[in-house]
Amino acid sequence: MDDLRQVWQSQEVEEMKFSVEELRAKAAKFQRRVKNRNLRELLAVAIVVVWCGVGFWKTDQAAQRVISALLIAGAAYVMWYIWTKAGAKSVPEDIGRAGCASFYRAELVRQRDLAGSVWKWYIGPIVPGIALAMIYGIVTAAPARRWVEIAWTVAVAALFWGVGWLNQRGARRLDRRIAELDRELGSAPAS
Amino acid sequence: MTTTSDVSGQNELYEQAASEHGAALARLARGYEADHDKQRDLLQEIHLALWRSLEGFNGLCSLRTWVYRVAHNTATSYVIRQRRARPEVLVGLEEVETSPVEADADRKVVLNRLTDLIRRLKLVDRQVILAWLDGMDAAEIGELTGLSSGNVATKVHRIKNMLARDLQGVRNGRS
Repeated sequence: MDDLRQVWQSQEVEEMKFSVEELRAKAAKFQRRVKNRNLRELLAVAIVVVWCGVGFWKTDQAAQRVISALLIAGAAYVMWYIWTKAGAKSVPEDIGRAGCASFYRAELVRQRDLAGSVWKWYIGPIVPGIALAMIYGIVTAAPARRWVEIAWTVAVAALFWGVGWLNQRGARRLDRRIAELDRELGSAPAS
Repeated sequence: MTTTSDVSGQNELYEQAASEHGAALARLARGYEADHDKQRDLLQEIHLALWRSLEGFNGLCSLRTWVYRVAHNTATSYVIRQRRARPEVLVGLEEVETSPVEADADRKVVLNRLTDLIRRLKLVDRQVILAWLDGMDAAEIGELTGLSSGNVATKVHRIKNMLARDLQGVRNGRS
């Protein structure tokens, strides 16, 4: 057995060592990447807000105003949730304190909770605005075009259902991995 | 608030950790990723996480344990991210299937077989086997992983059995 340890420890590896300046530069680059991603997300929400905002002010229809307001509120909520709860942290605070098994479990729990609650933080907030817009489209469409609006509504509903189903399936798979890990560890650490 | 002396302490600790455990970190990255370029990226990620984490090093455990924890935890996050994009089935120590290497297999063959076997293991088993191969005893592995000493002893016993069954060719191996 000691032979195997010796084989493992004596293997040739390409070591890396960075100067503090290099590490600072890498950390800054990572932060820039996060900042750029946040800006892109913010831009996407800004487009929705501007587009819906223009619709809100230009229309004199109460229904269209309600739809615009719901879409803006939904997009803003999703953005807020991603920034505050679902975003990637550069280095988790407990990375050196947490035992590897409990760190792994905590990561699985975090991902399961995110995937399992996708209706609450991603689909749910934008469904009211979209649903109302779809219904409004069907009701106000010319009779000859109504079936197109209905088909469009069904397709969008199927898309939402599909996203929700895939996430629920992912959450169930993660749940099984957590249960398996708990069995392996002999007890379930606190979530 | 971070003071100048905190920062210099953090930098000194990193220098020390990288000098003393740099090779172990490179071996660890090899145990988590097969692709050479991605291995380098992972190793770089580990070094960056280590440097940043040392700001909060409190001396409640040894620097070695801290370094290994940061490295394994960073690699664990990496594997979880990779598995989302590229799902693969990982197995436990008792499920892993291998075929024994030839009795006269050289060290390179044994090392490749060993590395391949490690990469197929579930993450907790992988953490234990990598720590064991790097010379940690059961108490140190327990401190690293948070597993009970009984659990570590069982896993180490299984590791030894598995390695004895499949990789004992190294005993007669050539350098």
